[in-house]
Amino acid sequence: MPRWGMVIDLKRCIGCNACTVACKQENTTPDGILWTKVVSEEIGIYPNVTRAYIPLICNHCEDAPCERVCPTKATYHTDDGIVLVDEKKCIGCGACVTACPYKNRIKLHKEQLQRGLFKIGVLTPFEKQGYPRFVAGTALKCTFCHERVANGLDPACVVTCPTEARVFGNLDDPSSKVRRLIQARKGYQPLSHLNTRPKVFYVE
Amino acid sequence: MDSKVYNIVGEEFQLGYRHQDVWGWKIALAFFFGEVGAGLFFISAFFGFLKGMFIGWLMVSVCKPTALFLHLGVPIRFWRAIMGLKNSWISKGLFASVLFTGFGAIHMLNLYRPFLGEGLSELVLWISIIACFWVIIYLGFVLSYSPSIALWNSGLMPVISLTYGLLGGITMTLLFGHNSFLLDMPEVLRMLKYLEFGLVLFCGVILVSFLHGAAYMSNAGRRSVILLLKERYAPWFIFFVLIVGFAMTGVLILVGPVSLGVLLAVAVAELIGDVALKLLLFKTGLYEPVLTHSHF
Amino acid sequence: MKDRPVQNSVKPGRWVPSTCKMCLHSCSTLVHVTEEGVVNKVEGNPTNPSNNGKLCPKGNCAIMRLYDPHRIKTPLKRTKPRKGPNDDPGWVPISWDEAFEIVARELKKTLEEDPRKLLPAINDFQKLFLWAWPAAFGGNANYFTVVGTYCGGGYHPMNGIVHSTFAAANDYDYCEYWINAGGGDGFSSHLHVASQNYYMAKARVERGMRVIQVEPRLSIGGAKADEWIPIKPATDRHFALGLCHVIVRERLYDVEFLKRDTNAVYLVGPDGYFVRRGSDGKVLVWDPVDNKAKAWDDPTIKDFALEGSYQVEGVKARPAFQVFKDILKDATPEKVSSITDIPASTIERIATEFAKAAKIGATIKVEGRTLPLRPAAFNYYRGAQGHKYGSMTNHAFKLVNMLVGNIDAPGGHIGVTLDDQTEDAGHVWPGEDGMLKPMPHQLHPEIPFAYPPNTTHLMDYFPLGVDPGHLNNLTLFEPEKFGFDFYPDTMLICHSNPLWNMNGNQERYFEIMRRMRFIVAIDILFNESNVWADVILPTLDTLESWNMTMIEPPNTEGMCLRQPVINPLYDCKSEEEIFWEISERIGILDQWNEIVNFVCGFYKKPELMLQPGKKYTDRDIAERKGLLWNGKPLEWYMKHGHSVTKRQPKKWYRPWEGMRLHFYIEYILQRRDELKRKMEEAKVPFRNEWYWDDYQALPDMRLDPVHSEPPEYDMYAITFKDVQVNFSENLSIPWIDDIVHKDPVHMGILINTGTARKKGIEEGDLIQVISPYGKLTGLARLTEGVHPQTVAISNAITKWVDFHSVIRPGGGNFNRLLPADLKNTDANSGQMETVAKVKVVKLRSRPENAAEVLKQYRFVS
Repeated sequence: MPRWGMVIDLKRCIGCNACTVACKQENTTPDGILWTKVVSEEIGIYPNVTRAYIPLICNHCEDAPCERVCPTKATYHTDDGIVLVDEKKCIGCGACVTACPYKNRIKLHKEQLQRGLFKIGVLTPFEKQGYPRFVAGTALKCTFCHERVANGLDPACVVTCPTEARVFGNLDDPSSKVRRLIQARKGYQPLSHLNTRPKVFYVE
Repeated sequence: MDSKVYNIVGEEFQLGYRHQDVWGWKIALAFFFGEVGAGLFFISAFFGFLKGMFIGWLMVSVCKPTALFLHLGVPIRFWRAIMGLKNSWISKGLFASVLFTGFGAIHMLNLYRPFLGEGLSELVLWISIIACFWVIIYLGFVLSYSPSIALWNSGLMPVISLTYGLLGGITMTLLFGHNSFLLDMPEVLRMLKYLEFGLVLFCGVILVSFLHGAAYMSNAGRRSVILLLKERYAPWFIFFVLIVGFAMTGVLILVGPVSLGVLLAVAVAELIGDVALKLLLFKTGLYEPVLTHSHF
Repeated sequence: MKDRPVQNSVKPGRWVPSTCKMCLHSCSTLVHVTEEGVVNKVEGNPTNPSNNGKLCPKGNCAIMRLYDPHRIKTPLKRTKPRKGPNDDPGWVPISWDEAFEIVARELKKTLEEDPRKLLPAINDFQKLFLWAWPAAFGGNANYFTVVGTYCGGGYHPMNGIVHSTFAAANDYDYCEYWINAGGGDGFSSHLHVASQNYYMAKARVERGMRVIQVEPRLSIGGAKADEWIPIKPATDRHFALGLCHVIVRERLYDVEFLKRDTNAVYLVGPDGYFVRRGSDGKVLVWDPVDNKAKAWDDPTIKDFALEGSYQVEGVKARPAFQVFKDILKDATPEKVSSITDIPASTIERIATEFAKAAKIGATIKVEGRTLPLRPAAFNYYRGAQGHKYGSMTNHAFKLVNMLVGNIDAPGGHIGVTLDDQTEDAGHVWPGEDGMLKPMPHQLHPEIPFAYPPNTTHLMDYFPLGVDPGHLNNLTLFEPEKFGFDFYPDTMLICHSNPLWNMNGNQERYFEIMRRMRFIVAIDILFNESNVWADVILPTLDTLESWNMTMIEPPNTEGMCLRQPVINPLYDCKSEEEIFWEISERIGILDQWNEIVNFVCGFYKKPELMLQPGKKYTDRDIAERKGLLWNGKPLEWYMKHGHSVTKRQPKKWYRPWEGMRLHFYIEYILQRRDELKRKMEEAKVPFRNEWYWDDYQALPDMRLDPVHSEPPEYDMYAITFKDVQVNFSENLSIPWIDDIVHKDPVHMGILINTGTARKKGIEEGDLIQVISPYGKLTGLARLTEGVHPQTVAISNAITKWVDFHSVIRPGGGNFNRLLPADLKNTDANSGQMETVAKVKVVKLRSRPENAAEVLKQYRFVS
């Protein structure tokens, strides 16, 4: 069984947010729901100043706090390490949102489904074919594109990234690109001291 | 890394502290009713004070679920919340609440019109007391269980829950009982008054220690404490939690005469302080920036 | 888990290969359509070596354009009179028949009265041939839009003269030291973004390529570069000349290249022209070994002099290189530093690093051909080249590259063609005197001189330039002065937003619209300009129509097919159907077909030529373009999506081998004097106001006039776009809005933190940026990443339209800050100044409800 993980190459990322949009496209996420995004930070004082672009995505932690606190066991993990939410079980208590140190989880409100992406209460055919998977009031998060992955494809955000800043693969395979990158470029985990054992690694 | 360098950001695509935004007044009220109601039942149960026990029971079994239902995204599935008993403090709390609702009701019925044998009565009493105690403190564990919000992630959280629960319980017991069962027990009345005062002092110290710990343990914690003590939420915190919730309560209960008006004022002040603290904890809870770089 | 998949790309359906249209360029896509006929995913097509399966954020949004509920669904007619920018036009739906009737009637009237009375604004870059339609309309050469000139006025002609191409880029495959001046190549914009970003990341991370970004604002490129060099706006030419100064002084230039591959050795006389032998007019060079002047192709030449001063044919003659060297005396690092705000030591260091990294003398074998290897190159684009002295500025950038001999060499600075049309097309031709034939007219043939003028933007007087559409803002209000014997009263706007993209006084633009008798617009969504129309003809979306295109590919070649994936959602037509129908109805069908044959190159394969009397569809044109490229039929393209391969090295590297490049551009002086003579002969009344001095054979150190605006304007303002937004139309997409309006650099007017503090401005304050020509309002965003004397305004915050639920109107358009006059326009290239000199004032602190407040200012200009 593979243990899926991702490496984010901060040297490559240009903050274009193609990944953010590809994810919205792939999953038909409603207005205001972002499962991944790229934030920036300005570092330094003129003229010695630069900007870092940092993609953020659910880390599919091995000791996921969101899974621990979930009272209904709606949040669970698959054998290959993907943390998912069963929208049929979630009661929308929000504990997982407060439990995730990376604030990667989000609660869906009914208005978001109703107002539509164009915010005028009209749903496009695209939305109509994609919204039925969502239940208002439940918690949502990135799924590592579990269906694509089950079909042997990479997640949508990984595939679209023009600079190949995202790499997806099996952390248990020493010859996989993710393992080699982590080794060669000294990959580190975000907020690793919190011991959530995230499976997304960053390299500078 | 200097915590001042990172700003608190909203939805901007910028690295920084982010506010907690799923838990608001509805769940704060639910927590409040749960703690204080259970506290009231707890204290009242020691005296067999049925009126207090009943009001406490109502707060836990009716008011709290109402507030929770308002908060939940899909309330119709609430029964599922018992499934996570192994890991989730919310599940454990729900289990305890159900136990409390059931056994508390039986105990009160038994008190009102005894129908259980002596052994069974004792058992029912102890189960309801334990469940009740659990209901008071589990909220604190819920908050402190997750490592994500530095302000909440303190070992003192359950103690704060317990203290405020007991404080609320004593306050309400005094309020409802001062002209009933306590009329015949002036010593107990005085003891409860002093106990309340003592708990206010104790709670104050705990709160200071709690804030101190948060401020020095992490950057997000420090930023939260700054929000509470110096910035946007300082007026609310200082007035409602410290002045009204502690000072007014403590002074009134110590030197105020035992009358309905005064005890009502004490109750209102203490409860306001309780609700205010919960709301403020929710509003000032911050997530740490996911990655940080050095700034000059 | 689930019976039906929830992820869009794995739902049952079919994949259709097509091409993206969210910017000018054509990344290959795969479009997924469900069994129910809903388009639910667009991905990159991995078989195309250009974008390699990747898409930028815009490309990921095609679905949102297709299903945008604001799309124009039927032809519309205006029922209320044309008044203001935000008034309700009172649209009523009409049938196509009625629409065509009205349009044909009005256009025919104009055609019969005077075809010059039409002002066209046609800007679909993926259907370039449409731009030529006015030529069928009685030879109309007007241009009421700025696109092409804002970013490429000086740029395109200079590329045409130096490389014989439309654009230019550095060589991703071999470059090791890449300077980007004022351009987003490889990071945020320009050519084939998803493709360039891919190759740039590859070069930087896998090959360790060093990137130096020179620009006033820390862009994405600046953030990723090894070094960001902040520069004062409108001083980029001076930086380039400073680099040249150091390279020449230290003798780090490629002597062999200059001597053999350029005209730097040609002798220049005091009048600026080459010194020619009296007997046969041959251009002369100086042989320092034999110590005499010889014809440039004399077989007895033993060496060429690059320097010195000689008496030849009775005049003082200097090799062109010496002329440049003498100009460079004025470009010392200290002087350049005082102009650009770049430390002198940095200029010295970058010049030396650059020249050394160029590995002069190194060679490499590519497909059996030994070529010079010059892995250092200076790239540049819009921000750096968009100044009054546009031609000189672009020339200076070319000279940095020429000095190290990297022009069209592996690792160097390479010309990029616009539209090759056929697989085996060459794009270079020999010119006179052994030089490459200069091809400054990259977009359309030269407009001949005429007085009275035949165009309202005075294109009759820009023999070398790109259309200065902004001059309409000047001439239409002084028609007598410019001698017009007509006044335009009709407008055709197709896939264009002229009111938003042109610089100049806003009220005047609104007035021009009011003066039109009839305006027809052809587009898919409403914008600031087409809302003024009388009739709107709605076009199909890219997922509903056909096209075959490939423009400006930096390192690939081929054709990309766009094919419909679903049936049209609404009652719309393709642009081709519309133009052919209108042409037939107004009687110019045959002329139009002839022009398309020429512009698309169908005449190269006569069996593809359009026949007189016949109308054609988008599918017909796409099919022919595919056949023209490589002989493959449409069915082949429908299956593969494209025929793109890496560009053939014989076309990419030194296709002009054996010809000399224009180091010194005498050609510019020839065209100047020709124009001067013609204007004199015709006694053109404004000939003495014409800026003849803009025509220079070499760049020099003069300052652009923007620097001499009154001193009360103590700051500079620049504008920029980023990878999420190419056309302003993209701001109507919800997903683009999601990633733009929360991006710090697009949330207000960027101002340097230190400067803001000095002016008492804090984050979020309402401020106004005022130039001598106009103003705009916005919220201050403090940043360390901008030159202290500069404010930077994203084009994502300059819309003013109200009738789209997603678009956020800002507090005014940057273009209002810029003048539309001759003084700030390059008489040579048509390039307008794109930097404004401004002052910044604070209106009030952190307003509540900022968005509403800003809207109040959008027409305050």
